[in-house]
Amino acid sequence: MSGLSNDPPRPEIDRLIHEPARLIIMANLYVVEEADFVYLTRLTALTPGNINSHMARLQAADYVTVEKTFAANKPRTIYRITTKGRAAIQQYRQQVGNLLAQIEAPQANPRA
Amino acid sequence: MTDAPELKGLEQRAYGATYSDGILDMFVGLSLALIGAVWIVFPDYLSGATALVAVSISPMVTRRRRFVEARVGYVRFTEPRRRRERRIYTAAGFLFGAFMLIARPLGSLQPEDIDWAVGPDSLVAWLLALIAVALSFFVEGKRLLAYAAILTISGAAAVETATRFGWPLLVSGAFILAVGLAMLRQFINRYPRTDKP
Repeated sequence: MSGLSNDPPRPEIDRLIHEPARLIIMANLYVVEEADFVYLTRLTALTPGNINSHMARLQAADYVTVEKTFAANKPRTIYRITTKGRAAIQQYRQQVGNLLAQIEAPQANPRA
Repeated sequence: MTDAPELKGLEQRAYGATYSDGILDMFVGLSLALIGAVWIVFPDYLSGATALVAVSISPMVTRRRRFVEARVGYVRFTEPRRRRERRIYTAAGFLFGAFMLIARPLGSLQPEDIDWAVGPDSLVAWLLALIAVALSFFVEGKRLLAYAAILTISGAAAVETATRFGWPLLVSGAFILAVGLAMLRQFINRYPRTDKP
């Protein structure tokens, strides 16, 4: 049984972005125009394997684009967030914000 | 392109990481020290030293970018951020240009000439303060406020003690160079070179 009929509607949250590692990747790409693989490993502190697997999912969802180029005769993989990905981050931010806004803020001085 | 000030802190953190190498500080410190030393020893060549600094800016920026990208990776910031950078580089260019224009007449001055040559003694200290403020704008770092204070105090001390005006630049430049070296060491430890794509 999934729940009672009068349960409040469950807020829609983009699960693809909700995953912490992907959220960190998307947030870091959101604030810049483009970045390469090395930059993401440095700034997110994720392992290369982690970034690769999460990037594959984000790319499949059309949230990021991947471009493989060469710089100084060395391969370089550049990632860019797409318009769809940017919109998804903005929507996620609003949804989570709305959800958290329903939680009562902690009292400043509970002993008072 | 980011068109909203959202996640501003994250962008500033990323920008800070790519500018924590200390190379700009080292360059500024070395330039000030060089200009100061030439001012003391070969005042006639002051404008030449300033020109040397000016033509070194472009190669320094290119080499610095390669150095940082090999460690932190490549990143292209948003257009507002790049516009701000361009403004800063333009301001720095104007500053050096202005300094080149006044370098030669200033270089031939002796401390006792200042009264009749450029007016109030404090003018030199104010000139150094102006350079310091422009530099803090150039590198966008809070630590530059300390540099500004050092330049201003050393400039004022030089006026007060009638010391040759190259000394405050040399001392301040050496201090800024040392800070840049310390930052560079920390940066290399934090971001070892990587050749992975």
